[in-house]
Amino acid sequence: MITKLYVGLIKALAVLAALLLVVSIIFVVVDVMARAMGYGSFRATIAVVEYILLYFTLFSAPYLLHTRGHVMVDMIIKALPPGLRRILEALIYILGMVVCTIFVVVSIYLIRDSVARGYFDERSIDLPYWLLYAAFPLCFGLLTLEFGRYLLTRDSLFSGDEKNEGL
Amino acid sequence: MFIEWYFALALLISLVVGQMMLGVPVAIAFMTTNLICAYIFMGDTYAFYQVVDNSTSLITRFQLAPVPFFILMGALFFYSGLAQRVFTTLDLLLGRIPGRLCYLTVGGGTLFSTLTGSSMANTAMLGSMMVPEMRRRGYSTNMSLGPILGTGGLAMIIPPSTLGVLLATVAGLDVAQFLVAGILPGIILATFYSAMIVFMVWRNPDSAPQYEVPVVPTSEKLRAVVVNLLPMGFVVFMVVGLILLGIATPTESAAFGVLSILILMGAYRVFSYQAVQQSLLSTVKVGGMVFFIILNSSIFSQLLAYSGASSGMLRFATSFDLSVTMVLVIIFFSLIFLGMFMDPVSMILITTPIFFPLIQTLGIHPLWFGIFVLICLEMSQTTPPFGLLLYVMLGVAPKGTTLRQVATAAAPYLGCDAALLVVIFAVPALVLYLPSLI
Repeated sequence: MITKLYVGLIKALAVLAALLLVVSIIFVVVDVMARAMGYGSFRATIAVVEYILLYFTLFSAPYLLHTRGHVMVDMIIKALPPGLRRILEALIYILGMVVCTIFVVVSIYLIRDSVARGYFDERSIDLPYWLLYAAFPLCFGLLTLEFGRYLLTRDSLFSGDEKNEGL
Repeated sequence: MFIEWYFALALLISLVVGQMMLGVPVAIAFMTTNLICAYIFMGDTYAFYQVVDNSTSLITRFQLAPVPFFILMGALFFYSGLAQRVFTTLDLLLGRIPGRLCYLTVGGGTLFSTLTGSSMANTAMLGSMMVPEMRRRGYSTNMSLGPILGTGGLAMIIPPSTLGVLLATVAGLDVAQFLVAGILPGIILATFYSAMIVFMVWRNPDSAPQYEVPVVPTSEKLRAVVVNLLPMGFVVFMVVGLILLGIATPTESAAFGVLSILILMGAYRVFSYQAVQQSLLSTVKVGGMVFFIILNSSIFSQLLAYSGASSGMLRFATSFDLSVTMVLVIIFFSLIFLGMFMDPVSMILITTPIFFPLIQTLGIHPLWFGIFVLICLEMSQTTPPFGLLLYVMLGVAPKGTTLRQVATAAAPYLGCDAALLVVIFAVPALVLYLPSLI
């Protein structure tokens, strides 16, 4: 049940990332049309699109780790003997957990401080500064859990096939 | 803590590259390097605060928005079947000429490049469509795999290029000017590829045997062009035309590119919920992957500057009084070397803060240098052992094809890329003329 909810959350965030992208395209198209029709530009467009880029990235990251979608060079690790490979994989997962946890903790501090001091992020419109980091604890928290899952289960980040998608 | 620039540089580069080599996901390798180096340079855990706080600085730039938009546009183009339609029409037009499937690859690949921004998607698409047909017609491995690898990479140079948008944003170039700068070099490169095919077919006609093609009346060909090819010009105009005319920013034209593909899907009655869903999923996968690396690497360039590594490297490199040509040759080999084990996004993020200040002190135009870097990146992705395009090709090539065969097939087209570098060096206006019109 918990596993289902957990995977569901990761997938729901990826769907949200896709929807946000659609919203940003609609924003830009409507903005240009409004300008062309003489209504002028919306001040919010640039800031909204910029924030969507950030949230798109954060919401898709756990799904990508779950589906082995992040870029990795697996040439060396795949050539190692099984025992050594398992040790190196474990070290990579622990490293991932440590750095993601640091990001969770520091982002919570950042949110707390910016709320306390009432900071604003000055863009095409002013937005509360904490909004920049609001999704960090969730995103990096899920990434920590994902690395933990790879560490504690038989699932491997390096068991996927060659990828055909990229730039 | 004071640290000599060369130590700082060595630490930053070796940490990030070392982790990548060991298999650490690229984004995590950047995160770890940034946290460790910031702590060493600043000598305080406050450094962690700086790393996280600055991580959003590059990702929240409006200029980067064309990256996911172009990815979505390309994905819609492929998943909706519009790409297949363009290809079938080109096939109809070619008639009975020696090596026709190779020309079809170059023609189709070049057209795809004007409608998509991903070399990997282009190579995969061309590979899966063309290799089986070429095999069936008795084409040699070199003739079937080579043109696909060459042409697949064209998407990196011809706008809309997603890597181009990324490079321009990281290097602080005008994205619109930079995208437009790739048009002429892209066309020249496609011409070089065609010339290479002519030469190879002439030298060894058996490598691309001729076969009977049904005769198609001119009226039918014309109809196919009007129905299937001309409307694609609408998309190209929406993307490249609007930028070239200075009417829209690259972000705006990319959004209109997506809209125009959706309109075409409706017009051709190929609009499906499934195609849109697949395209969005592909965009989340590719865009999310690239952007997560950008998110975690943006402070990397700031650390290079903060530690004095960038300026130290600059002083060191300029102290040798090397000629411009020699510096470009060194940069060329550095990029080819890095490409042997690194993906192009990481290469851009690591090398741009080092190379761009250097070339500017030498008086090299940054737009010209950007195109030079893109061509080098394209070449580096086709060189073993880790050239990504080689593996994409290997993934869609018939079973039993070796990496060596794929790399050998790519070699003549790498020669064409090198020739293009020489040509743009001799005539920089080929790169700089179109951007000067904006």
